[in-house]
Amino acid sequence: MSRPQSTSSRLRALLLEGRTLVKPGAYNALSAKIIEKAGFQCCGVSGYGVSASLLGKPDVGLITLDEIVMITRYIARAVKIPVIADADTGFGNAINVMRTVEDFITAGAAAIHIEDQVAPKRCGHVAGKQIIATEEMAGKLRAADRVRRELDPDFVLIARCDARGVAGGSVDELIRRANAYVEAGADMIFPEALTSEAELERCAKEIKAPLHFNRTGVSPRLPVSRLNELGIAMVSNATGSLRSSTVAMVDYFAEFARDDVEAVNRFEARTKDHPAGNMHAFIGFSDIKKLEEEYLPSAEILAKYEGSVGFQP
Amino acid sequence: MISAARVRPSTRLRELLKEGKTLVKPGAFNALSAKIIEQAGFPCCGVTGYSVSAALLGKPDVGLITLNEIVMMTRYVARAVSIPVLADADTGFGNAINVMRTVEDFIAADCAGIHIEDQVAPKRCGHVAGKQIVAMDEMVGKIRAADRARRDLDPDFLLIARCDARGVAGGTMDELIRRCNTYIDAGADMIFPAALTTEAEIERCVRDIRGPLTYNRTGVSPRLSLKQLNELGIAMVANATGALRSSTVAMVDYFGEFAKDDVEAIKRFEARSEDHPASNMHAYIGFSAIRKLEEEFLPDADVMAKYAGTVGFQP
Repeated sequence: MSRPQSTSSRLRALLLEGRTLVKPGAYNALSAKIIEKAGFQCCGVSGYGVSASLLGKPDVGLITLDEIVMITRYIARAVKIPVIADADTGFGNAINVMRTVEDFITAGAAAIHIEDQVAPKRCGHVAGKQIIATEEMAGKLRAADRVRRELDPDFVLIARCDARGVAGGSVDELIRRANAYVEAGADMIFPEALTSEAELERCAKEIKAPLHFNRTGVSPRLPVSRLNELGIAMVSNATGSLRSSTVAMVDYFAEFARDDVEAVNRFEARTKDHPAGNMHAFIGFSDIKKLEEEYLPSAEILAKYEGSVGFQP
Repeated sequence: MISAARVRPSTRLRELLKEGKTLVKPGAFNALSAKIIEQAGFPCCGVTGYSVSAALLGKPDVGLITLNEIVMMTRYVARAVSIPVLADADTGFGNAINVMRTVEDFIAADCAGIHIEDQVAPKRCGHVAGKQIVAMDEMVGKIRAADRARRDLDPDFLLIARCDARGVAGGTMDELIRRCNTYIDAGADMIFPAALTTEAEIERCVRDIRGPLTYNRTGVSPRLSLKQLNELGIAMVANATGALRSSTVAMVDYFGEFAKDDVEAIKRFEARSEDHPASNMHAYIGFSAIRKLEEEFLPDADVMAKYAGTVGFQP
């Protein structure tokens, strides 16, 4: 019997190909499945997206370790591509970080990023961030490194540094910290909230590790071709799934509130030929029917489906 | 000072129902979709099993979600909105005894009402073939048990009995109506006849069932207007999966474009939604409300140190 390659090993194999990996962010199993079907090779679990969708609240450190690990577990079960989760500040000090890493590994994540913000943290592209001492963050990374070596040596540890965006922050400070984080055991650095291409170029030159770039908020919208030239290992599109679905739901319910069932009829007509136009087929009722045929008594299947009303899977 | 106890969601739901117009109940699958439904002006919202199964698990609605999962999502939804929340309790997650625990859990999750259906577990979406139903006696026991539990904990908690007898193999309207009236006698406040296929069937339910009705305007059921439903005296109408369908279609399109055109697709999306109410996600999701709370409850120096000179969206 062959043992399947672990998800973290698969992520490392992808990274070794040397091209910039595009990592769209998911906030639940469905968005992750859509990302996988669109052909992306990995996906993120975005703290911003989970806070907004699960709680309906902004990304200011309100979600708990349990909540983000739970959503990560659902996502990792729903897709085959490696899943990279947002561990925020690690949910406590270096000792708490050890538990955090264990939880994400058992949830099936291939990697996490931990950031050097003061807890409660906030979205890296919203003003009001503060950072902890370099030494404290280095301790968190050393603790995380110890745990992953024991449980899943290929688990990728990404250190996010928020030093650019804080009051009095600078790229100099960011680079100094980033290199200290690499020495503490981080595999990759995520320099958050860079504001220009020149800043990213400087990071690529001076940080002694592969980089993760977040192409949103205050950061320049560089094409993957340019990121490849710069040797960026991974680029995230953290909130595209959240933004596109939010805009769509706001529009749908505004129309529905105004025009009642006519809005529903229009939506159904508009999406008739869309890949997700038939939600029953899209979400996989037919796969269930096949499994039933394989594992349920045949008489039961016959009794269930013969003459019963509705979508025939 | 201790103020008067807040009005329970179940009591507010009963007040809404007393107004006598058909209540429109769009289905949510997380806090965000519920907030969008509330902001659009709907008076209540549902938590749909179909959508929670699709969104949280990425799986079809064939009885795979657990009681814990649907109760958890109901709790998140109920905390995020002020409108009453009705939840989908599927088959009640076991027998009549399990149903008592189920009702307790939903009440503790601040839910205003649930519907329980007479399908065989594991259940499935009412508009997908392959449904089967339990004996009427068994369902009556579940409703009686649920009625006892809600009388103890929250007498206004709304108990909706869903009957799937129309859509099963050999199912008939006669059987549906016979069952529904028995469910009313057992303690149900409202009946949800699932998967009706014509307007005539709805009319017959209105005439022959001795209780208010909830109607699900989707799948195999006719898309009657709110005006028609009001004329028929329908108490509540669900739009269970609009939130799920609209967001799924949007994400499929977004990632299809993104996979093809990289950052150009993002720029187009940002340009297209520039004047949209949700285009600035930071503002939309409420960073500014947090900033106001920080000013109220955090030391002034902390707030100053946090915001002065930092990069990004200024809440």
